[in-house]
Amino acid sequence: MTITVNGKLLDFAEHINVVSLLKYLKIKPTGVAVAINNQIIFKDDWLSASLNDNDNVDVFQVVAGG
Amino acid sequence: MLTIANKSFSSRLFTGTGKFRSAQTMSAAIQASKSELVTLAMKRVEHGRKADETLSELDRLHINLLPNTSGAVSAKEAVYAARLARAALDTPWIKLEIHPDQRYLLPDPVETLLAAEQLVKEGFVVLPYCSADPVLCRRLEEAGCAAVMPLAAPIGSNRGLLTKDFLHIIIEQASVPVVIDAGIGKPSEAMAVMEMGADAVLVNTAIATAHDPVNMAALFAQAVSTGRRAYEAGLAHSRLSSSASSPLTRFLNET
Repeated sequence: MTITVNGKLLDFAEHINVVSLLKYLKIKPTGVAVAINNQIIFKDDWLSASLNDNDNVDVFQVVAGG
Repeated sequence: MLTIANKSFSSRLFTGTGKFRSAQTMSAAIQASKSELVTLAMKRVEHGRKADETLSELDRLHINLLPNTSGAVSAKEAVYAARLARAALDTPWIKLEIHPDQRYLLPDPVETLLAAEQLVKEGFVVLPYCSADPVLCRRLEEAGCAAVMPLAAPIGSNRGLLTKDFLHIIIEQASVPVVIDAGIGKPSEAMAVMEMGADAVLVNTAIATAHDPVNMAALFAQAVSTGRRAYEAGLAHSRLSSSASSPLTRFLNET
């Protein structure tokens, strides 16, 4: 299965969900937002939101700004 | 006491979190500023990049967070950024900013109004960064924005109150709080705009890039507070001709 995360192609042998994707990417969940194909996935749904082949995933985090 | 939407603030100085030398300096400066609302940005996570410490530092301060939509160049992108920010921080508060032009970062009024209308419908507390245009501020207010945030000068320019005459009109006409955002470079400018009756100011660059950001933050706090108190005390009218403060006796000229 191939998914695009923030513009980068990643291959996975098995189906994964948002929580396992963030673990794989070593991203702590605090201040993080995830969207699959531009649809925002709320934190409560991260475990149940599984990723499919060709999905486009955006992972954003809160950073310093004005 | 300043109230925006459902929140009350005892400080009328809001601060940004960008451009500080370190997250620790940012935190110390925010504490010195007594600010109760700070802005943040949203960014795509970069592979292998060290995690941003901003949020963990702010967590300790128990401060209100105002994420922005910086980077958005259209209403569509800004709405997406706002939804991401709400999911990331669990807050409906959003500083709406849309600036397609990278050189001057001036806000796009048409896209800003379109995005504001949509975000208000979705239940966001919208604080739009906008041009110092009284008509636009009216329209943003009518769209349901919780405040308006007209610019004093281009973002990060430290050029001060370039739009002063228009800020006067906006302050006179607005029935939502007016927060002067962008371009304020000195405490004296923050004080001047507070004397004019602005409800609050948002300062980032002038504090973050000062030689001593912590001290500068404290000085901005003083200036904002003094400016507000002067406004509340009711400034005396200015006039072109003189008005004697002492009785005009003629004895000095009498021989």
